[in-house]
Formats: sequence, structure tokens, C-alpha cells
Amino acid sequence: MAEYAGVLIIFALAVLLTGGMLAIQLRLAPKRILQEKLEPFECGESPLVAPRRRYGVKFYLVAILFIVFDVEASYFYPWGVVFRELGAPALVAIGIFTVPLVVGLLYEWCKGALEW
Amino acid sequence: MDAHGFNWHVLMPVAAVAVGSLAVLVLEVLLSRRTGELTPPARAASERRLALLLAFIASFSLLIALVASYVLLLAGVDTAFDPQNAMLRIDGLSGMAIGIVSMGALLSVWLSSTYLMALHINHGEYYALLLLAVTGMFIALCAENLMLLFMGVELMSIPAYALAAFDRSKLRSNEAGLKYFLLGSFASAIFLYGIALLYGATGRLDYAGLQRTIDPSSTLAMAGLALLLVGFAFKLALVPFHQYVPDVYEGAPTPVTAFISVCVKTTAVFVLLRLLLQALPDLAGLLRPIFWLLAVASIVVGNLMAIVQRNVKRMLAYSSIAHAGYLMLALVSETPEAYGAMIFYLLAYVFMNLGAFGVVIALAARGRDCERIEDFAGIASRRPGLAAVMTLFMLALAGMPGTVGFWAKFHLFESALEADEVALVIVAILGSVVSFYYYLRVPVEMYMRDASEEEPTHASTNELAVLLACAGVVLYLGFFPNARLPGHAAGLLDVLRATVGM
Amino acid sequence: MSNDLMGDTWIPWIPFLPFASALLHAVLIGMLRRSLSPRMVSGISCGAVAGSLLLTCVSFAEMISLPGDGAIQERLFSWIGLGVGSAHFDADIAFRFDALSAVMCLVITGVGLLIHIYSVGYLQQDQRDDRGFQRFFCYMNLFIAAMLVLVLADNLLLMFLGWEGVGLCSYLLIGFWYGDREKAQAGTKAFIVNRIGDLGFLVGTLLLFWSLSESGTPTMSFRGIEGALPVIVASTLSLPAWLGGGEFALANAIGLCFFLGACGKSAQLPLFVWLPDAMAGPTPVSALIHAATMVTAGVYMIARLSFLYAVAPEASTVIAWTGAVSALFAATIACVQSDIKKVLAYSTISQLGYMFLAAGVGAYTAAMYHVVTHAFFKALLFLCAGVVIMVLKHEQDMRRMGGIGSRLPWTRRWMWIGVGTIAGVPLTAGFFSKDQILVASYAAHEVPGHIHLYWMALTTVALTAFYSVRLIYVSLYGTSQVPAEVRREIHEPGGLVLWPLGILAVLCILGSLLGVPQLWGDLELLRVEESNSIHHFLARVVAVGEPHELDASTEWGLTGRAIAMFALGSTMGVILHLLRPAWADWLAGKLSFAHRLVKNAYYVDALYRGLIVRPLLAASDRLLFRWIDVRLIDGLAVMGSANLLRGLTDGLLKYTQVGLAQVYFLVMLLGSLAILVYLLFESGA
Repeated sequence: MAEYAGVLIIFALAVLLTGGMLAIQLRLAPKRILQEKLEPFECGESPLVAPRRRYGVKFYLVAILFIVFDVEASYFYPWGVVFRELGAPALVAIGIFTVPLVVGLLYEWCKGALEW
Repeated sequence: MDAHGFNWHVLMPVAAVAVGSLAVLVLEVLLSRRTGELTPPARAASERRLALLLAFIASFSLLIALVASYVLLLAGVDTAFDPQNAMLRIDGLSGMAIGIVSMGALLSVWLSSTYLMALHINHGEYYALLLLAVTGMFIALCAENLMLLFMGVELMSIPAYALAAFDRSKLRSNEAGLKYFLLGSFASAIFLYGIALLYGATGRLDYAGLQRTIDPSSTLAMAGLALLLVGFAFKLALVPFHQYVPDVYEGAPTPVTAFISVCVKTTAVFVLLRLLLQALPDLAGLLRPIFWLLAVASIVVGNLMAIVQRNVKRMLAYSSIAHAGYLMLALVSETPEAYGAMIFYLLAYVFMNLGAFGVVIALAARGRDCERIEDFAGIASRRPGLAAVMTLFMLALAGMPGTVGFWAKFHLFESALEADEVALVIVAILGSVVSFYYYLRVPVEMYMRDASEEEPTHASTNELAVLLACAGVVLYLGFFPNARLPGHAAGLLDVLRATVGM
Repeated sequence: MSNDLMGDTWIPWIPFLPFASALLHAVLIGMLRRSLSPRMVSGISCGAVAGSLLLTCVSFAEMISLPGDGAIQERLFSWIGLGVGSAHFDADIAFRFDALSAVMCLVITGVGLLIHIYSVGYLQQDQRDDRGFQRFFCYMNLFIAAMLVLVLADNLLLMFLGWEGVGLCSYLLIGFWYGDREKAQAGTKAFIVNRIGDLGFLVGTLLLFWSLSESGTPTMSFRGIEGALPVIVASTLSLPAWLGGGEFALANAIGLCFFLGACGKSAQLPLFVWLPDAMAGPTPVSALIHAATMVTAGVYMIARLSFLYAVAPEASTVIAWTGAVSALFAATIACVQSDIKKVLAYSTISQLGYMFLAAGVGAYTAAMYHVVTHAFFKALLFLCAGVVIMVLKHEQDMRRMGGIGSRLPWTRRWMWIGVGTIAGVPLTAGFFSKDQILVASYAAHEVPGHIHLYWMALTTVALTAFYSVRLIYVSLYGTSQVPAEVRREIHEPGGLVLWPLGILAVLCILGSLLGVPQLWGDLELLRVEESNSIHHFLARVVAVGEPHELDASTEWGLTGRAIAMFALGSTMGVILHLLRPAWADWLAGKLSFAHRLVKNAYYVDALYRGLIVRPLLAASDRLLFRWIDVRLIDGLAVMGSANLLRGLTDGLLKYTQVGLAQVYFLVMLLGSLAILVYLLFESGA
């Protein structure tokens, strides 16, 4: 089990960090309670509206597009750590991984999905 | 094999369609941008040209995949991409499956172009999505690892959801896409959960490893297996996991329906077959009653529900459920002959079903499908050729001698009989008898009722080519079921049996 | 056989060419509802038959260049394959081009081509519906294809396919003008009567198959059957007690069954009734199908199975007697018919009777020779009759003809040659072929009553001469009964119609060279290099019994008798129909009962109608239709089960598909649970 000690430490650090930040802002921040602040967070949308109303999808679109590249980035990090050992096949593999994403980016760019 | 021990030629079919899909996507955006400033008629013409170009690229990449798989099949290739690490493998089974799927996809592409224009949903993404789905199918077909299998199945399913909803302006199409997506995701989740449980129980994901380590007395493994089967049953549209099928088949644009009904089903059957042969051969006795029950339920419910349908697409949806039930006969019998018969059935099904949907597509006009049974009234007097081939496809689906449908059923039932599954065969035969009732209603309507006033437009050349090809195969294999494969010494049926007898 | 040429030959193309043409026409008119121009249609159809003829000639040359009695064999693919190991049974789509099928192929494609060309001219003057032209040639080509399959087939099953195919085409063509109820019914009658014969064929095939598979060597190919002949000879069939019991040689039983089939197709007693009615079809059809080719299929089959009949003496005796009686019987009827085509139809039955007589006394080659010569002269006569009918605007009654010979100079000449050949003018083809049959029946000591057979055949010679002379005199000469306005418009049709007649006439005369009897060939006068060449040619395939040694003087005596009978018959014909027509009426009045009897074909039709057709129809209608079909099968079985299933689905199953995704989830979940629970319990985990 000793090899998992690092995980445990990271877990503890995360709890400490987030808990500490919450605690600090509870202590230090001024509290001004407004109507908007009491509402649950719904990605920029008002949670209570009449159904069948028009609403903008741009926010969702950007979020989805962002997630794709977020995931891409999170794959690049571990690859970057080991790619020297893996050599040429790793380069090809990451190429296969990247090209569709680049094509996707090109596609959404040309379709105007990135224009707000 | 290169310096690192990889066999790149294994990737050939997958690469062909993947590159094709990306090429279609890029070309679509690059070429369609300039049409904005054109006058409406010039723009329509330009869009038409673009659509044909994209369809051409799509069919070209599918053709490469088809040829590649056939060449690999003829060469008797049995290679893993990475021999150190069981992931992708091309062997007789996957080569054959890729061949059948790419044939189905190719015919679907040819059926699509005119239809999409007629319904004003002529967007280039269609071909990209279709090719992506085919990429997923190929990956799933070659996979010998549950993780990769899941990736492939998802890559197949997600574009299929989008394709089902492709006719955005139509409520039914939206409903189809949404239902397909929701229920498909549910099934995928169950499937993935099953994989996770199996991994938890055995610590393996590759088929060979699973075969060694799976233990029927482990609760975890059995639970995982059950969930895995549910995922397959959903993709195969077996009762009781079938209920999305009629709604999706009816609502989706007809070429998409044709594609889903043929290619997705073929993929699911082949993947399940590989899993059973390579990972679960020791559990055959345990699984047989499940397949038995699924088969009976699908045959009975599919055939009976098809009787009362008044929409041809919906009728074909229920009939496809029944056909999936017939296919299960082979999994119950578990002999190489039965598996060979099952693959022959799939091959036949590609042409019969695509042909039937192809006629529905060819009759579509003025932005509307010709899909109600009343719409077929009197077709014979105005479009005798179409009526004739539709009759042929209906008879083939019902299993009339002289068509490939008869031999497909015959060999399947015969092999099941040899495995002593008498009761199951009786149910299947009764089901086939019932099926004549609803299949023949279409010819009755076409030949014996008076025409409605609406004149259908003329079918385009590529649709006619597909219909003729399908009709030709249905008849040719109907008379020569053991026809010799080009470039191969043995007959078709013998090759199929030999492939699964490994 | 080691001398055979196997594989990669033109043989399959011989039937395939006309078949492809028929298919093309069928697709065009049946499915695409488009008809080609008559020029295109006739070009394609005649071209296909001409191609077949060409390939037949090429194959013929190839075959005779083979050493010994080699044949050309082509196996396309396995049609029906059953069983494994030594008891394996295979029926192939395989063709065999040997001497017998070569002769038949030449006749079929040769005469067929001539009649096709004639039909082009004939039909252009006789179009009663718009798609008729193409439909006609579609059927004709299909017929040629089926007939070629029949004669080229290497096994009984494939032969049966062709057999049924020609039956179908015959039905379609007799009822070609299906708008006319009587003609449609004639087609139906032909088909049904033929079915009775086909039953015999089928039972024979099954008996053969049964006996061969009992002995462990099931086969249907002709050479296979021939090889298994000892097995067949050794087996017997025990009759059931209610038939009197006892044993019956299997070869005889099989032979009789096949002969029943031949009776149906070749219109022999008692199944001849369909052929006179079949004259309802267009005249070229009557020439091709109901005279020259199809009706000889029965003779061909018996020749093909001659090895079997050689060991079935009782069956052969039945054949000989049936043939002789049919020949005499039909010839008497032909003497008093007034419809020109009916005369020819009964004459066909009579000539076919000759062929069966020959086959029955073991002279299979003589039978085949008569098939060939008959094809020439009967086709010629029918086509000439067709010209007469055509110029008289569909008048077929000879009593309303006459006196038009001078307006039709070429037709008249060709018709004289046809009449001369059928009547047996010495040295014509018909004379030699008939003479061979007469000699063979006279010499056939092993057949009971062969002298009676000979005398019947000899009497028929006189009758034949009589009715053929009557045919030409009444229709072309004498006082004209043709209305004046029709007569004025008579002019002989053009080349397309006349050329085939001319070629057929030449064939009638040259046909005699094929079968010059030994007796005549030995004469210094003739200097024939090989006498009776068709006999020697066919003897490669067909069974040939012990030659009957008749001394030359006896044989000359027989020939003399035949010539005398011919002279008697034709003289009577000339007297009664040209010199003293009044005598004919007087004679008919004196013998009014006999005249009526013969004129109505001995009331056989009426007899069948009263004894068989009526009771059968009544039983079918009252019992089978009203009770079993309407109430039991339709009402209970078909509609009942359909309504039950529909009701089940409509009332019950339908409600499982509600259209709500939530419910779908629920059902899937329940299904998953069921599988889960089952697997966990069953695996014992």
C-alpha cells in the first residue's frame, strides 16, 4: 500500500486547500446578499423561466468546444512526460489523436461557431 | 510489420473511412463558404455539385475499405495490429464483417444523395457523420479488447443519433434522434458498467485473457456479463430492448434508417459473435437459454406487431426485429454451420433490406416520404419497374424460394434443426409464415389497388443502380446460393462456414 | 465415355440464346411495359434462333469429328444435390449433345428459324392487339429454348423441366388470342390433358428413382440409368391385392408410365383430344409446336429411353398397338374434316401414330427418321394452309375455299410438294420414312399381332393419300366458294412468307437422301454411298435390335404394296374431289351414320365430357369448392388464423408500444433485471 501514499497526500492537500480557501473567504469577504446571488447557479441562465422561451445556445456551444480542448490538453500532459521513452510510435499516435481535433477546430471556425 | 512490431496494413480499412470522413468535413466547410454570395439558382446548382462530390469521396473511401477487406480476406490474413498488445485484429471474421458493412454503407450513400436534395436537408455533414459511424463500426469489428470495443460502439452510435435527427425541421426526425440518443446512452451506460464489472472480476479486458480468467461462480463476472448482453440486445433490437426501433426507423430520414437497420445490426452481430467465440466459449451452455428466449420473443413480437402497421418504414422496423430474432437461432445452435448461415443471412439481409428501403427512397417526392401503405396504391401502373423490384424484395424478406431470402432462412433453420432446436425452428417457421401476410400487403397495394393522383418523381440514376444491384444479388444468390467468390476457389457458403469454424 | 468432349463448349448457348431473347421481351413488355418496334422484335428473335442454329451446326461438326460414338458434354452446375457418399444423388444442369439430340436440335432450330421468319410476315398482316407481336415472339423464343433444353438435357429431371416448359408455351400460344373465350379454353384443355400425361412421366421418374435408390445408386442421368439397367431388369413390382396381385416387371411399369407421358404430349389415343382444339392458336404456332417439334417430344423421349424399352417387351407392344390404332383412327377422321387446320391436326396424330408404331416394334431410328421428315412436310403444309387462311381473311373452312390455286402460284407449287411427300410419292422423304416403318412392323415377329399392325399401317397409307389429295383439291381447286370481293383482293404474300416455304419444300425432297433404304441404295441406278445414313448415325445412341432378315423379294413386295395403296388412295381422292364431286356427297349420304361418327371424331370428346369432366366438375364444385375450400380452408384456416393473430396484436400486443421513452426505459430495465437474475441464479454464483 505504500506506493499509494502519494495519492493520499494529494487527496489531503486538496481537502486542505479548498477547505482553507472557503474558510478564508468566509472570514474575510464582505457579505452583501442580493436576489441573484441566492439563486442556484445554472450556467448563466435564470433557473426559473417560462418554458418554450427562446434562449441563447452560444454559452453551451463554447462550453462544449472548450471541454474538447480541455480533454486534449489533459492527454497531452502525460504524453509529454513519457514521449521520449516511447519514441516514434508515440508521435504517430498523438498525431492520429490530434489531427481529428484540428480538423474539428477548422470546421467550427469556418462554420462560425467561435464567433460570439 | 515495421521496426516497432506494428502491422499497419491492419488499419487500412479503418484509416480509409476515417480519412474520408475528415476529408468530407474539411471540403464541405471550405467549398460551401463561397456559395453565400451566389444567386439562388446558381447556389442550388453549386450545392448539388458539392453534394455529389462529397458523396463521391465518401463512396470512394468505402470502396477502398471494401477492396482492402476483400484483399485481406483472400490473402487469409490473421494479424493483430500490435501483437504485443491485443487491441485491433484483422482476421477472416472481421474482414468479412468489414466487407459486408462497407457494402451496406456504400449502397446507403448512393441511396442518399438524391433523397437529401429532395428533402432539402442536403448538408455535407451527412457523409462525414456516416463515415464516422462506419469508422466506429470497423473499430468495433476489429476490436479484441472490451475497452476498444466500447470506443468503437460509441463512435458508431453517436453519429447515428445525429443522423437520425438529421431532418432538423421535422418533428418526427427530432423525436427519433432524441429517443435514440436517450435510450442508446442508457444502453451504453449499462454496457460500460458490464465491462467495468467484468474487469473488476477478472482484471482483464482482452478477449483471450477474459476467456482464461472468467469464472462462472463469480457474482461480479456474471453480473457484468448480463449487463454486457443487455448492451448487445439493445443494438440488435431484440425484444424487450427493441422499443426504440419503430420510432427511430419511422422518424429518421429513410437512407439513415436503411443504414442503421443494415450496418448497425451487422456490426452488433459480428461483434457479439467474436465475443462469444473468443472470450466466452466456455459459457455457451449458460447463455443458450437467454438467446433462446430473446429469439422467441423477437420473432413473435416482431412479426405480430408488423401485421398491424400502416406505415411501411414502421413495418420494416418490426420486421427487422423479427429478422434479428431469426439470427439468434445461430447463437442458440452454436455450430460453425449455424454461424456460417447467420453470416449468409446478414449478407442477404443487406441487399433485401436496402433494396426495400431503396424503393421507399426512390418514391420519395416533394419533400415527403412515400411511406404510408396507401401511398403504394397503384404504383405498378405508373412505375412498373419499381413495383417489380419492391415485390422481389418483399418476397425475399419473407423467404420466398428463388430469392436469396429463402436460402438464408433455409440454411439457418436447417443448422438449428441439426442442433436439435426443433421448438425454436417451429416458432421461426411460423413467424416466417405470418410475415408473408404483411410483406405481401405491399405488392397487393401496388398491383391491385387504384392509383392515387399524385405522380411520384422519377428515381435518379444512382438509386436505380442500387436497386438493380440489390435485385441482381437477391436473384443471383437466390439461384446460386453457393456461388463462387471472385478470386476464391470455394463457394460463398463454404467460405463463410470455414471462416467461423476457426 | 472416353470419347466425350467435356466442358467449355457452345452447347449451353444453344438454348440460352432464345431464352435470353424471350427474357428480354418478357421484361420489356411485362415489367417495363414498353414494346419495341416490330422490326426490332423480329430481328432479335429471329437472330437468336439463327444463332442457335449456327451453334448447333458448329457443335454438330465438332461432334462428328470426335472419334467413335463420342458426344459433347457440358455440365454447368449442380442443380439438386442430396445425400453424401455412395448414395449421393446429383441432378446437374448438364447438357449432352449426341447423335439423337443433334438431329432434334437441327430440326428444332432449323424448322424453328424458318417458321420464325414466316411468322414475321404472317403476323404483320394479323395483328389483333398492340403488344401481340412482341408477346408472340417472346413465347416462340421461350418455346424454342424449352424444347432445346428438353432434347439436350442429360438427365430426366432437366428433361422434365424442358417438357413442362414446352407445355407452358403451347398453352400460352394456343390461347394467344385470349380475348376469345373458346381459344382460351382450348389452351386450358391442352394444358390439362397434358397434365394427365405428365403425371405418367412423373410416376415413371419416381419409380425409376425409387428402384435405383433401393439398390444404392440413385441417378437420373440417362447414361447412369443405362448403366443401372441390370438392376431395373431384375426388379419387379408386386401389385396390391385389389389389382389382382401378382408380380410385374419394373421395366414394363416404368415404360408404360413414360409412355403415358408421351401419349399426352404426342396426342395419341386416348389423350389426343387436345390437339385438334389446339388449332385455335396462330397458324405458325400450329406448324412449329403442334406439328413439327413439340408433339414429337414423346417420340424423342422413347428413343432416348430406348435402352429401357428394349428390355420391356410388353410396354413396347402397347406402344406399337397404340401407335397403329391412333394412326388408322386419326386418318379416318382426317378424311372427313372440313376445317383445313383440323385435317392437318388429325393427320399429325396419324403420322405420330406411325412413329410410335415404329418405336414399339423396336425401329427407333425409323421413328426418328419419320420425326425429321414429318417436321419438314407437316410444317410446309401448315405454312401453306396459313397462306390460304391469310389471303381468305381468316377463313378456315375448306367448304368455303376452292378455285384460288391460280392466284397463288408459288403456294400451290410448294403445297403440291408437301402433299406429295406426306402421301408418299415414291422417292420422296415421306415415302422412305413410311416404308421403313412398314417393313419394320412387318418383320417384327416378337411383337404379338405384328401382321395386324402392318395391315393397319398399310391401310393408313391409302387414307393418308386420300385426305392429302382432298386437302389440296378442295382448298385450291374446284368450284370456288370464295366471295367475289375477297377473291378480287387475293394476291400472294411477299418473300418473308414464301421463302421459308420454298426451303421447306426443298428439304422435303432432299430429306429422302437421309434414309434411303438398304434395298434401294443397293440399286445401281441410285448409287448411294451410304444407305440409310440417319440409321447408322443414330445407332450410336439409340438401341438397335437384331436386324430382321427379309429377303429382297419380300421387301420389294412390301414396297410394291405401299405404292399400290398410295395409288389407290390418291386415285380415290382425285375421283371423289375433282372428277366426280357428287359421288362424295352421295357416299356421305349413304353412309350417314358412319360419316357422322367419324366427322365427330368418334364422339370421344363427348364421351370424356360425359364420363369424366362433368362428374369431376360437379364433385369439385359441390364438395371441394363450396365446403372444403370456402368454409374450411378459406374461412377457418386462412381468414380464421389471420383474424386471430390480428386480433391478438390489435387488442393486446399493440398496447406495449406506447411511444413514451420513459416506458421504454422501464421495459429495458426489467429486461436487464431478468437477464441479471437468471445469470446469477443459473451460474450458481
